[in-house]
Amino acid sequence: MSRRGCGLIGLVVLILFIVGLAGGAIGRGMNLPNISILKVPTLEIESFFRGEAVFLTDGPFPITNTLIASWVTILVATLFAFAATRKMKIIPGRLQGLVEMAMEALINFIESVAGHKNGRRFLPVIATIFIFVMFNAYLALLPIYGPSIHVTVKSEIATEKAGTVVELLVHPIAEEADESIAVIETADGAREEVKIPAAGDFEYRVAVRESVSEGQPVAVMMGTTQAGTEVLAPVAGTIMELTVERRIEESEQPIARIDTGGEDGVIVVNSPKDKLGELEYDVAVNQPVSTDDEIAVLTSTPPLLRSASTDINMTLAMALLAVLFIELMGLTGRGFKHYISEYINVGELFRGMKLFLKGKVVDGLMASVTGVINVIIGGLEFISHMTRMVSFAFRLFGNMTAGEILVLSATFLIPWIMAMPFYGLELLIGFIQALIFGGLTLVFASIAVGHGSEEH
Amino acid sequence: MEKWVYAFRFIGIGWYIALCIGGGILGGLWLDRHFETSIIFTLAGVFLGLVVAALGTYRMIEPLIKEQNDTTSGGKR
Repeated sequence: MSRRGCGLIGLVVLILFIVGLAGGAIGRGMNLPNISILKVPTLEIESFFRGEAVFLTDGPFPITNTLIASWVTILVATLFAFAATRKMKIIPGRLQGLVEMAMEALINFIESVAGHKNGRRFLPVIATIFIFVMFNAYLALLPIYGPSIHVTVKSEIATEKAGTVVELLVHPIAEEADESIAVIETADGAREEVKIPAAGDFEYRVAVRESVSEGQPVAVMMGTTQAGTEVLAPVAGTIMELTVERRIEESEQPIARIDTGGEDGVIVVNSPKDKLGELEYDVAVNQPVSTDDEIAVLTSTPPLLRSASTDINMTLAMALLAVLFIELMGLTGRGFKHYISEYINVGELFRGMKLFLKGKVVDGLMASVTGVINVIIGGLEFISHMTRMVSFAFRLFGNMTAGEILVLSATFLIPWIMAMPFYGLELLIGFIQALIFGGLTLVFASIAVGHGSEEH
Repeated sequence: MEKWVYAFRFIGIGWYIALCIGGGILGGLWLDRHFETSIIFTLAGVFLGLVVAALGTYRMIEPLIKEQNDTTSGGKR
């Protein structure tokens, strides 16, 4: 590339960096002139450990966005393999060459650890794990994943017991003084905003499409310093819009208190688990409700696709499969007796007891002590095999989730340019995690089979 | 390629130690709450977790130590 070309690219990068700096969170913090065309992603994760349900939300098996993402991964991997092997030639084309190279590297790696015979047996499972984890990680870097395409999910929150509504606990919150909280349309069609005098939570006293007269309270402040201060309507007219939403920002946040009147006293209704978003009440204070009445509707907008490995259920399922594969290989490779004696090793203990009963006290005691130690070691072996499952699941989940948050944070602070190095890092981490998940399964399986190093 | 095997085996050791100690603590806390004894089971759980973690770790690195001893004493495999 010519020097002018390099200079031009450098200039563009610099401009993008400066614009990003000014428009991102750092720029807003430094009160730089705000560039409103930039859409800064919000650092808000609705549910941390699992994907958000986007379809069939109320059914017994909700379809989560991570599940859809894993289907996409399967589809893309299949299509990729199909495209690469559709017209196979002796002298490979570019795509075929790439796939051949990758497969050869995988086969060499697996055979170098497990030996030729076992390596060929392990190859399908290990290669599947490797490819699936890597495709998951790489596809999740595409811009269609994460916060770009949203799905609107409405969940209804109902009360379990009948009673009277005592208090509605979620209040709209104004983030700064002079924020517009409502829009009033006057009789001659002009629109007037109602401004709040101070930041804090407040309660609306009017509803949309209600007409107000001049000086009528539109809202009342709830916070500690300004409590009770009324926000008055500046003009007479009709309320067109209440601009501040009631937001649910925590999982299982209390939303209403209901006095049942009976033994149960006052009960609290909570918002659903792992769902954040905008809340709209269907009831008012002092209104009687009966069992299973709808209290409110929560509108959340989770992304349609979210990296499949950021769901603990997915990584746990893979870990279960991997551990099952390892144990199965141990069972078939060594035979049932040898396999089970690794965990429950009581032969020496029984021998010691037999000697003891025969009257050889010292020998019997010695053998018994060794036997007890063997039993403990068997327990240790069992624990170490079971911890593999947890470590498999949490390692992949943790690394992938951390990567998502890292890229999101970088984009939040300085959009565009700052995210690029982290994308590069994510490419590396995706490969490494795939290698670790596949490699660990391979190593454990070859240890379980017990011929890990004999063949070479 | 023996090194690969060891390298991958050792990736899991940290998790093993953490889970043993954490499991011991959680189990101890649960027992303490269940039997309403203040701290005895928690301490016992920590201790048990530490012992299990140490023994298990030693067992995991045992082959490496053996090999090291073999090579330092001149014995070739």
